[in-house]
Amino acid sequence: MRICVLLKQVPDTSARLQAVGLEPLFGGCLPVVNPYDEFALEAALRLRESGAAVHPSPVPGGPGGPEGSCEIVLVTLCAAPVEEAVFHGLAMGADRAVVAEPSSGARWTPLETGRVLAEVLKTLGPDLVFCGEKAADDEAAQVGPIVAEALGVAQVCGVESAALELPGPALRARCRRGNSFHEVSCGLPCVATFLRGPALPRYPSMADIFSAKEKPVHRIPVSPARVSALRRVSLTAPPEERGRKMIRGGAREAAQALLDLIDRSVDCRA
Amino acid sequence: MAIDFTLTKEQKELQKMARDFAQKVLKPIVKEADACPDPWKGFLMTKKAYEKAYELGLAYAFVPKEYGGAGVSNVDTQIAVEEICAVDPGFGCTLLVNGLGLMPLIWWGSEEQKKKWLTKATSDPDKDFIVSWVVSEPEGTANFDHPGKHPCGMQVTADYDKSRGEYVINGRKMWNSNATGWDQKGADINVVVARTDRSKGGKEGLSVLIVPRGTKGLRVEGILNKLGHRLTVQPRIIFENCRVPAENLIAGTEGNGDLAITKAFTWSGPVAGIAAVGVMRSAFETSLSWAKEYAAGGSQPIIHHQNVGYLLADMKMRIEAGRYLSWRAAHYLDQHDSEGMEAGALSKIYCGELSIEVINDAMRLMGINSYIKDYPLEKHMRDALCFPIYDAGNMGMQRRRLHGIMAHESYNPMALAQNLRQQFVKAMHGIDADPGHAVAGVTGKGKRRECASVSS
Ligand SMILES: Cc1cc2nc3c(=O)[nH]c(=O)nc-3n(C[C@H](O)[C@H](O)[C@H](O)COP(=O)(O)OP(=O)(O)OC[C@H]3O[C@@H](n4cnc5c(N)ncnc54)[C@H](O)[C@@H]3O)c2cc1C
Repeated sequence: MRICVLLKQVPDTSARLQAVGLEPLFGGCLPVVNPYDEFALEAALRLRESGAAVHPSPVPGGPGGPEGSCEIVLVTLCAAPVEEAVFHGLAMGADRAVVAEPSSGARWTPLETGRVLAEVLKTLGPDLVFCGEKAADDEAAQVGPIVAEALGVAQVCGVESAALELPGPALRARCRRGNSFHEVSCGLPCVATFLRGPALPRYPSMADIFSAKEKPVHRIPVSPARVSALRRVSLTAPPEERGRKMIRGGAREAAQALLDLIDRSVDCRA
Repeated sequence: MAIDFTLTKEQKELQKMARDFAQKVLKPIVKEADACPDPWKGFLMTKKAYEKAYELGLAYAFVPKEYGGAGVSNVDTQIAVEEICAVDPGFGCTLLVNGLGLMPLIWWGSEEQKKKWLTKATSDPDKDFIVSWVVSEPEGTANFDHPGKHPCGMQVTADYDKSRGEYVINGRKMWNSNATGWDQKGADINVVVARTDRSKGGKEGLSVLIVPRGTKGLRVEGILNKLGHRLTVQPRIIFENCRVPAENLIAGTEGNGDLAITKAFTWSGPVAGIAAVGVMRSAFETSLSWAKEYAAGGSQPIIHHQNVGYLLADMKMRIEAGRYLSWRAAHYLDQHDSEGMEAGALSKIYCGELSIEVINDAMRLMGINSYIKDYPLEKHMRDALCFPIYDAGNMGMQRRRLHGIMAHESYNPMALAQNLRQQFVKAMHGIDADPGHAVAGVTGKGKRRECASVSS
């Protein structure tokens, strides 16, 4: 069985955004893996560890993973260097990575990204494609569904945790809809997009980190089919944070002071 | 290597892992453990975090791969230690002492000894294996290389009982981190420096022995109640006819216990240096955000006052200088098989003492609120006060070592800058250990002589 996990590198989610023209600027912050993609990768690793994911590939005639094993492949598309994100995914436990490198540095729309990723995925023949529900930088939440559509397979959105049903196999997923949950079962192959779930992404160990550099990373050049009608027309940074107020004193007085403040601000808005 | 401070992919990942561990696993327990009036209970609160650190490979990362460690370099260690010590240097000390204890085994142990003990350390199913480095003694430690015979210098003795092929250890030790183990019955391995030849001085008479947990005659008592570094534990140890087989003497250390002490405290020098950098960095971040939020009754946050901005500038430049000196010292150790006695001492002394100045500035910036336990600076100051006096104190041990090195005729002041190996020799020991007895032959005048003139 082969699980492909889509990975996007985003600026550190605590970074403060500045808008310069149409491009966001994140000065002096670390690049990280999109946190939702980390949850997707963690889910893939757990499926493998559960032992269920070694089931032979159900993809008919496809180049699915070898029988009796489960391979986890990271797939990413990025014009900028994505070393840190890919390395983190490999250190967490993925077996290898495929990096699609665009010929130009132009910004890609979700439609273009999704279609190109789908082309790359077709060459890999995954049984499962996992990715974050959305990316923490642009929050478009489109790429997963577009990939499913381009691959012509089913998709399960908003997944918090996943297991494999045998025989079948089918993906059994617990999904969140607002405050409620529902469980679905979906035949393979399929695409699943993940939210923050109860299984927190693992920290790679020292040994994982220092063996990750031996894992293969294939780079393939891609060029976008300029298909999207979408373009950005303006970008506004979030407003300056308003002055904070320190509340001092013991728990009881502090709680009362906080309630007074909330009351006052509610009054003002009314 | 060209001068290049770019972190590798692995180092960036290691930094992220160590930071995540420190922020998410360690930080939640720090305040309570630090405030715990009983130092033993405070230490026990760190056990879960220690087990996680063990699982992540942080506890024995320095052990070579063939014995189950990660075989990381000293520079890699710097990256992880800064992140951990930015949250709590006491916990960092617990991890550090595993290295202080096992590095002499890695350098001097026989293949058989390394296989036996290192593999044990790295393959503990309970994930709480802990090592103690047993050097310091209640009657003083700094003059371990005193040329006089017993009872000068190190007082714990290990007499060889030929009839049974065993060493018999007697005497008292103190300050040895981790020596309690997790149940006050002892660390899994105690790496003990003792006088194996009573008739000889500190430069010939000391050796290093492995005393495993549960050995009869080893007793731990009296947990020390410290001002800071409260998440790490130090007891007193009593040896009463404590017997270990002769094979527990670390092979190459017989009569070289002095070199083992110096080399181990050299290895830990840049680690203690970067630990101090971690604490300074946290103090800086606290004062920076305070300065941007607190108006002190004025109309603007205090960062708009010039003195606040200048203090921040002064703090930052010293922190960066300390960080790169530590990195460089670690790099030098990597390049020269840990024979970096000058580099190690420079970074340990400089960063430790600097941290007190920097935190003092942070407190001056923040003002009176820095003096209460609601805010982190008072803890940083308590923790920092330890840096110049632990891990081989800066006066009696570190500066004295530098004095010995610099006074020796082979000393090349440019060796560090030019990355030349500067071999530490026994003749560099013993300086200042016995006031009134000038160490002969170390000025470069005339022929060199060993300073053993007062040893017997
Ligand atoms: C948190 C913590 C963890 C520790 N962990 C360990 C551990 O794991 N294992 C261990 O063995 N120890 C440990 N120690 C003890 C520590 O290593 C000390 O640095 C060591 O005991 C030496 O202390 P000292 O230099 O103050 O020695 P002392 O011998 O007590 O000397 C005291 C002072 O006398 C003066 N002095 C003495 N001799 C001379 C001289 N010849 N020349 C000039 N000045 C001199 C110096 O001013 C010196 O500071 C720990 C301590 C702490 C606080």
